[in-house]
Amino acid sequence: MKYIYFIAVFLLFASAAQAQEDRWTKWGPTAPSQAGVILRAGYTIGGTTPLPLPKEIRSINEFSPKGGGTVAMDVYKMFSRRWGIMAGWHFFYQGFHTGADVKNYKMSLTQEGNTMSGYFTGCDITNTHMLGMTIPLLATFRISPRWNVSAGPYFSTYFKRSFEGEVYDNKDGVGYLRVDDPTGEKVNIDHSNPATYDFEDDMRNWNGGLEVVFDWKAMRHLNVYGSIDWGLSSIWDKGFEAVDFKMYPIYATLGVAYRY
Amino acid sequence: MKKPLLLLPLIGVALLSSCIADEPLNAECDIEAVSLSVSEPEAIFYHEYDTLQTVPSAADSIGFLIRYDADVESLPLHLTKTPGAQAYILTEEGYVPFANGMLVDFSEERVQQFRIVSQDGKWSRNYRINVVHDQAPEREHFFMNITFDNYDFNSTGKYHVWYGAEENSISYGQWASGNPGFNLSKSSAKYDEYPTVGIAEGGVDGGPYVKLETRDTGAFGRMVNMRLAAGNLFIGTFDVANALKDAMAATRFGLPFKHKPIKVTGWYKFKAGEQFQNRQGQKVDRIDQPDIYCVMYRNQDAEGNQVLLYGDDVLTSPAIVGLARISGVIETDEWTAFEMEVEYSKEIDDELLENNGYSLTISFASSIEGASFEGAPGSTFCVDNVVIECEY
Repeated sequence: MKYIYFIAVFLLFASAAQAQEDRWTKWGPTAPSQAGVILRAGYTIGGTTPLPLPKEIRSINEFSPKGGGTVAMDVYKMFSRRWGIMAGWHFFYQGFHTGADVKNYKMSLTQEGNTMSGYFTGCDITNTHMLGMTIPLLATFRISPRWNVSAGPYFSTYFKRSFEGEVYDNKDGVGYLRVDDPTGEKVNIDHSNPATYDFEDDMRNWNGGLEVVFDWKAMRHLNVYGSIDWGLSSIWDKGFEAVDFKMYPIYATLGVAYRY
Repeated sequence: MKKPLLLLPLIGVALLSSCIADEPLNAECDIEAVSLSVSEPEAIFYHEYDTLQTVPSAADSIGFLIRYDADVESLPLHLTKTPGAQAYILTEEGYVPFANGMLVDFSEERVQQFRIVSQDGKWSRNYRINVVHDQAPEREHFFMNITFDNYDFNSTGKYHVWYGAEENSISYGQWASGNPGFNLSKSSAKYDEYPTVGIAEGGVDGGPYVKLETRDTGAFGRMVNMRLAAGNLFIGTFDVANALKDAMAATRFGLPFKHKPIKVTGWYKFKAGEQFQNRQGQKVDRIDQPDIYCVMYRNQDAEGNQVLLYGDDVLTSPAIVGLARISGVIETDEWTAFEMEVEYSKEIDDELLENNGYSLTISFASSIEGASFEGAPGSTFCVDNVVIECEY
């Protein structure tokens, strides 16, 4: 009886280990050194922001993503059960709209060789979008049979980008520019005649940063994933002074992926 | 799946909002208004409201006008400053802190100097405040000569400004033009590319004259739908603070005047610009015309409030008592004489006249519709040796 009991326990353990082994293979890759492809589609939201927020920004009253999306193809290669690498091509469209109250916000607008600069207090509306391609190079760690996390640097290049907006009075009716410095002429600006800006020509056409991707194997060939691209280089050209601080794109994507 | 996605922007706002830094201290250091406390204002000032002055953002000198036969000693002064700013007054010991209500010696038109330091301590501005006597009324035939000889660069050296130091000018005569507004839109313009420019030689008698030219305001002008700026020069003030918000309200016409104008004469040259355009910049089939008008108006309403005329009512206000306007201007490059009569719609009350109850303005412009940003860029109107003849 004791003998039978021992065998039973042994078989139970063996099958549990076998089951565990089955789970790793079931959710693939089937062999430790397998390579494959992941096709992704996702919804991208986020913003381009100074970090940390400068004290000139007093409140953020509106924020809405502008219908972003990503389609991507990643290739991966596992070196062991746990470790691998992943690289790919991501095509994205991302953008946002924001409205913020600012105080003594240093800005400078240049059009056709004429410059209007000074310190603005009031409401600042910004709309931005970027269409481009990202190439990430990521290390993948398989946390469990169904969970992967990948992280590494990325490099983006933009095909099209814009950063435009307008300034006018805030809800308290305050909106003015002090020309050149805080002792300069005060020029009131309101809704009926907002001052607009467009910094498209002053934006870099590339960006670099860190990408982190979480993949969850929902089905045999289907992943649900979330990723974040954290820009570490400012969106502005070197020497751009119209906005007094560096701004970084930080965008997250949620989507589904087909893998094989 | 939808709902969590919609929540994400909110989470984003919450995250960002939680990162809002402490509010920076105020960087501005303006005197926004100045008032003098007097027990019987009307004994010293012409109007009760003359004891309070709001100060334009660019002004650094504030003068209170009092009756020619009145005198003041030390008066309690009250400054309305940018919140948090600290005021100092210049004394023999240097600048010492000034508190509202302190007595300030304004006898003998003494100029008192103030320094305002911003709340953050990084910025400061100096101001001059004094009390000046008005001219005594004279019941004699009077000619106000406007020669346009007295002009100089503004404080930043960008464009010309005119001041009223001419013989027989309004005592504290003040000329204004739209140049400060043009400066906002065309920072790259040289002084002689502004709409209103003083020319040193070539006037009627060989000396200086004023050249008014309608100018394109460039990209910034288009941005705020003010595509051109007519050259203009007028008695009054130009409030650049409202130049973009409400351009009509930015031109404030007239200063108190103790004479009764009857006729305006002078000399001009005019050339119309090639293409007339409307406010939207569309071509209009029309030949541009310049404009000169002289307006005498009652500067106080029945309730005792101050009346000022602005760009949109300077020719139509019911406060107007007398009006002259040029007509029949021809295109010419020779100095050509003009003359216009002041037509009175209401009788002048001599007692009111002596008590600064009327204000006078005269305005010159290179485009007659320039106030509405319509006209022909390039229209050039030169004016010299204008005389306002007054019955007394």
